[in-house]
Amino acid sequence: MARAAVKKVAQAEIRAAKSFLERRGLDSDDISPKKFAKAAKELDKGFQETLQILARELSAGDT
Amino acid sequence: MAELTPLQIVRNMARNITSRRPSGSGLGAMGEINSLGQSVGGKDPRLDNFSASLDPYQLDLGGEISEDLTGYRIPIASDLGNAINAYLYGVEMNKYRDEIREELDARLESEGIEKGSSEYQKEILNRMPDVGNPEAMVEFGVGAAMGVPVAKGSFGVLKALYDRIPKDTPESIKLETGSVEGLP
Repeated sequence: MARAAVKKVAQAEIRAAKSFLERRGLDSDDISPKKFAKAAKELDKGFQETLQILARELSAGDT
Repeated sequence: MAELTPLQIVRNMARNITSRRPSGSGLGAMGEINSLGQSVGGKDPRLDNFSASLDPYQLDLGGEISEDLTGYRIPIASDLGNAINAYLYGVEMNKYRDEIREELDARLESEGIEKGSSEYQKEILNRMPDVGNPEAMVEFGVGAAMGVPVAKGSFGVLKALYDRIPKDTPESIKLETGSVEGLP
């Protein structure tokens, strides 16, 4: 039987991201927990720091 | 060829969002009114009046949340989601660029073009698609970020993308026309 493809982001990480976002009042409609978890993984940062990095980049665009 | 990091793509997206915001929406920009009280540059002063009638909390809910969380004020919460999309898009595009470059290197090598030579550089410039330039990001905007699922996939998808790049080699013309007649 063929092995299942390795998932880039584990379900547990997605759940953790969803919980993180919800606790901070951010809707899943606004921010996809799966994509947020994936971005954190790509950046190799925690959720809080990932949010800060993205917010900083967005703010830089306003100047 | 301009190569952007994923975070630079996020920054470009932010500029794009900023430029699309209506000037009188109460999200930062104010309408310009001349000394006669008329709007300048096609901006409708009624929008400013409208924003003034709203409660500040309604105007800037996302800003309140994001400033508490991050120290940066992002008025629309979904912009953070779009930033994530843009970032992931950038990551995917960089991977694609690297893989296309490898594919291109292999083809140039098979054509006898030595890597690092001036001819190699010329061919790379001619054939390499500019997958992440700022103009493309402005054109794609946030929608491009939503296009990530299209980009996501196997090398087969990559090859299909590569094959869509216009090429002038005899091999590619033969593939398309079935003939190499008339070629120099």
